[in-house]
Amino acid sequence: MKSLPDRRLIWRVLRRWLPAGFRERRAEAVLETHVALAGGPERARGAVFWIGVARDVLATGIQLRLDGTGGRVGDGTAWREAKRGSRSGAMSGWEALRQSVFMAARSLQRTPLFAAAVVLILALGISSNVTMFRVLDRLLLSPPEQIRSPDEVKRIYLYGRSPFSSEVTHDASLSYPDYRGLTGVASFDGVAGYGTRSLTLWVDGAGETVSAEFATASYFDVLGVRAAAGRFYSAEEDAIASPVPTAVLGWSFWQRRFSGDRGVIGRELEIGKTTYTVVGVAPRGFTGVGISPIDVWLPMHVASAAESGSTAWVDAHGWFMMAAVARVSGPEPRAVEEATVVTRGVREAGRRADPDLRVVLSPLIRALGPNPSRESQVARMLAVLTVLVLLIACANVGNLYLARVLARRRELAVQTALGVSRSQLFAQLLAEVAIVALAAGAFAWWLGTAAAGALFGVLLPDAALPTANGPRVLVLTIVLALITALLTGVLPALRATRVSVMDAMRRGTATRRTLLVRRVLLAFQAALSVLLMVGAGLFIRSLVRAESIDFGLDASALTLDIEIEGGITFGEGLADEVLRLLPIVRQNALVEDAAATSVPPFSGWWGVGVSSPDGEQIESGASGPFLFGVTGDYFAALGLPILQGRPLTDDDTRPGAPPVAVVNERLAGLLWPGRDAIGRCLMNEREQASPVCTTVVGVARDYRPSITGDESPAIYYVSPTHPALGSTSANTIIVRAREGVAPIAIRDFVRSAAPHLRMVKVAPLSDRFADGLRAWRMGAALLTATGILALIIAAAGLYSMLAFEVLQRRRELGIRAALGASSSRLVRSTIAASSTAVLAGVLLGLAASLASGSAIESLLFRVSANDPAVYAGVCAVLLGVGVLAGALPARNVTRTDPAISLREE
Amino acid sequence: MTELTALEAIVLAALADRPRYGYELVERIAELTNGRKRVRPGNLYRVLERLEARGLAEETRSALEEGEDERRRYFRATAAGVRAAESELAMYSGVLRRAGGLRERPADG
Repeated sequence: MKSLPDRRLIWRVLRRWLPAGFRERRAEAVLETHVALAGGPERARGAVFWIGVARDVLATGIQLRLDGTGGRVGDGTAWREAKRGSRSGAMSGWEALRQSVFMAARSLQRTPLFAAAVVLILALGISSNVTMFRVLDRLLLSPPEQIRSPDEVKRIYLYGRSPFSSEVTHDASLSYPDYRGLTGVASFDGVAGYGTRSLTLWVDGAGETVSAEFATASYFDVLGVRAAAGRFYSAEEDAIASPVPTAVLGWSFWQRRFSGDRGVIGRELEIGKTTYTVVGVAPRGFTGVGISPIDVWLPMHVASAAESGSTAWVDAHGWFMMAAVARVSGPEPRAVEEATVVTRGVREAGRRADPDLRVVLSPLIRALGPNPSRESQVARMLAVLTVLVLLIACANVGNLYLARVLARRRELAVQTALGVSRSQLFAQLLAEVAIVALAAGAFAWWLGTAAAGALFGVLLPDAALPTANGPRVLVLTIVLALITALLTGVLPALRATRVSVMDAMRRGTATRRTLLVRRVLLAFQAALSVLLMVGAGLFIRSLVRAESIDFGLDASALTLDIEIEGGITFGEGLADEVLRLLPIVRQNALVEDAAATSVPPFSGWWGVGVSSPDGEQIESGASGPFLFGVTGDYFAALGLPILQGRPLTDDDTRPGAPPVAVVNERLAGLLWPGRDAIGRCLMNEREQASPVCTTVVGVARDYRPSITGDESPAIYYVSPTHPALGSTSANTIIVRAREGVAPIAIRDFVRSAAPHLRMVKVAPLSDRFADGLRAWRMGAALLTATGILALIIAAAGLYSMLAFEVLQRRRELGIRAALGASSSRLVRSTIAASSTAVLAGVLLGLAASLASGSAIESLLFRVSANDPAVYAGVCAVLLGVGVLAGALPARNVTRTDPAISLREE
Repeated sequence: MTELTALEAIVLAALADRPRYGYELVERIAELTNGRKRVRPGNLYRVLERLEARGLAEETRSALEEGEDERRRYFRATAAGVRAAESELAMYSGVLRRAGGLRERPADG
């Protein structure tokens, strides 16, 4: 629990609820007694104490006023007295307000169920908006925390030919020479390079994965951030030749891993391939330029040299290892101009000339830049939809209020007759709405705080929860509550003040216009529910389609990655270790097939151009040819069929074995179109000096390279000992486990069989494209949740509407029943009007969905925005819910006993 | 004849033997009712004011003994208050007695 504000403030607010005379005479004694009962001033604090005091003060205030009205409230006495008071000038505006609030509170107290229902409905509507706001705030509105004048800090994108494909794109990847060039741009106040990756932290022999950001020493300066403890590393410490590698810890990592101990400064940590000395801790909430938490910042030059084992990247124009931000306080066009000239020069020097290349400076908030994530697009759409939920809630509550006004016409008429003015009545009803809306706001605040964590988990699993947007969210909650009060309250309150005494006393059926308004509101709710449910349906179908993609191989196969001494996870002698481990894994009873590979599927490509003396020559490009080193059993372990010839076997791996290859259908088709590939000679561009013929022994089936990519690239598979592979021949083991064996069982077995390995990771291949499914998964989950929420609210609205109508018309129904009308006829006549309203709403909603379909088309996956199955499903669900909501009131109609309903009047 | 609510009668009973202030009164009432009644302070002062207005209780400063706080508001029952409380509470016990207890007795007595 957060510390409560100053007790005197709370008390000053609370005591004002007591009527003036009593307040002056007794308020302090009341508080003092509470304090004494709590056990003295030291104990008289905290929420429990103040809730007790507040309850007492509220109840006493009401009782004192009841004493004043002789115990009868609701008959206008209080109002009359108040009116008299105001004529004599004794009733201030404050008194009048308090009187309104008091009357409203009394009125709500008499119908607690109604009050609770309204509070709940509004709270759900408000909290979904508040929670969504937190997410949008993180994604779109607030720059990352702790950055000084964040508007001046720009992300640097290059707009031009992508280094990875031939398309013209916005790309944030820079080579080190690019970065070095940008540091010379005079119009930049500062430039910083950074790149994020996962490394292993070693403490006392146990490893854990940490998210590390390699950042130049200028990073902290450019962002204008101050260390929370210790200091950041200096430019000298970020030099490649720096004798002592240094590191800066992220705040939450420092708290979590080292319990916030300042003694950690000066401590040595083994991270990745070298040992760093901690020199400082970043401030709380600082996540660099991104929104994901960073555990540790390492000096870019030192860490890059250590991890790559070389300094070749310093002059490598094709090694895109970082991104950059710049601080620009001067005119932006000039900075862009200068940076563009410099970068074109660098690219030309690196033989990657692109005369159309442009530097683009974009806001620090990534979702506002040229490459927003799909998640942020989905979040935007969801924000619109949550506003719809709030509107549904408002329509519903407005409807409930109208019903209530109708039911209370008599009481209101009495008040009018007793001299309560229309404006007073209006104020009282509005106060009632405001009390409810504020209670809903408070509830929503709590609900939203509780739900934010869960929503972040779904929407932005990698993002840090913001630490600083509390006040904004609070303000938003209050504003939403007040808007809701106005939206829901004004119409019913106006209606109420038009109650004529004679009408009400006659107690006829409800006025037609009010019923019409209620039906329109009902139709509106139904329409919005349809819109939300159609959205949910489309996303669910997208997700199902995306999840059920046949990749052409078995995505449930496991990948087994290891880390060996020296922090090595790729290349550099890893192959020996992997090939030593392979037979041990194969012999295990849990394993069906196992094979080693240079790169597992969906994890990257290694392009090498190929040619054939009796076929075509193919340059390396975006769709291959790609080279994979694989041992025997590879195709079996992946479930990838060999269409022709034979797979690679372990015999092909033996030293001295003739070089052979398996190609996929695509490559076979490209090299030898329309001809048989088996037995042909394949040469790769790496061996042009002394070409070796690699004989094709088999053709493997193509597989799908990613969720969105349809066409298989050209691939050829060789044994790990093939000279074209060099040191990166075997890095990962692919395992097909026996039925029902969990990945963790394989991991535990490898750990015990090879205890010298520093780390063993086993995960299904499908994990490698799980991220790609996230946007649909998120959209489906959240839209379904909001859709169901909207449906429940709308169904409750329909139910209350029908139940109310049955109640209102009890007398009429009773007479008709007595005259011999059949119950089915009575039911039909009762629910006909509301059903028509719902039907009209559904049609309207369907039309609106069709019209707005194009807005979300780009977010869907292989589903038309007008998917008929989705529309049919939504109609069926709504029909079912409508029948359910109408069944109970309809049953009450048939149970109407003429004798009872007539006697009631 | 002064009509009293049950709470008013109990408050007067709690003030009958000596003057008391708010906290003492809450505790004394709990004691008299065997812990059944924990009166809310606000309500207590509201009842005290009503009793005061009807001349059944009064605020007093004359009963100060050593060690008692001068700022505290002590209340005591007036003679009329004691009489009213006595008759009210006697009525309750009379009801109970005349009803012969309220629970059903075993059939064979």
